[in-house]
Amino acid sequence: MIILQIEMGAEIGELFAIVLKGIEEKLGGELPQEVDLPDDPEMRELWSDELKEHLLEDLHALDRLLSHPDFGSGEIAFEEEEAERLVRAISASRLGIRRLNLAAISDEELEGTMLPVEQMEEPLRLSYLCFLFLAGLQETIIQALDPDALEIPDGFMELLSGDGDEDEDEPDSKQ
Amino acid sequence: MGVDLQTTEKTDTQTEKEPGWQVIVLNDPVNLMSYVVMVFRKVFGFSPEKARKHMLEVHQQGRSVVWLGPKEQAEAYTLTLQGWQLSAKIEPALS
Repeated sequence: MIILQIEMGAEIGELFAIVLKGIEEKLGGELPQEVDLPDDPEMRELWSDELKEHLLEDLHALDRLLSHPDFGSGEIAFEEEEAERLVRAISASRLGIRRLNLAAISDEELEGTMLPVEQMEEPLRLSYLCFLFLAGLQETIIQALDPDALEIPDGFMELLSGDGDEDEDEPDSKQ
Repeated sequence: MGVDLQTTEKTDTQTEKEPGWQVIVLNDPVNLMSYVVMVFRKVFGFSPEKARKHMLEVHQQGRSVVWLGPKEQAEAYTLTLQGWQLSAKIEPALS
């Protein structure tokens, strides 16, 4: 069982919910990013339908969380399976926001430090804040799902910036 | 998310003769590094170190080969990774 506690003003939560609803409507059941599909038409359709079906289930989990009466002010408990749906839905929503509402921002800017929100105009600002809020929410859930994924070992930031040695080994195989 | 996509049936003999296929994860500017590490650990059962190594490859080199093996399994893993919203694809392995 995972316990989530988010402190947030109700009006902010409502604004983010509006952004997310808008993204869902704009996507209209389509995937938030282009995916590599098989060449075979039958397989392609099966593949795409399965992704869309799972995406819908995941987005429903996020809707349930955001509309929960205790969201923003109290504790919410859910099972690990629901937490996994939530982190997937958050990724899908962030990809959707990035593609549909934050297209004016470059990849480099988005991956860099926080942008000056006070200089942004609406609705870009609200979309960007929602994008950041979802990242924080996702990290909070990941902390509960897999704390090791958040751990930063010594020297890791040097590796990330390209200053460290890289370990070359064979790709992993499971058969 | 499971790996339950129905794929074309192949005999054991055909499978053995197939070249390997690799599952590749591509970089994107949206997914968090911690999320990518978590997904690698959940989908492939990687240790934290191995998951971080592959995440780092994706981040720095734009792609990482995360799995190598028969086509049917490679497709199933690719579908699973895409279901986790990672940008993934399969390619024939270089001999």
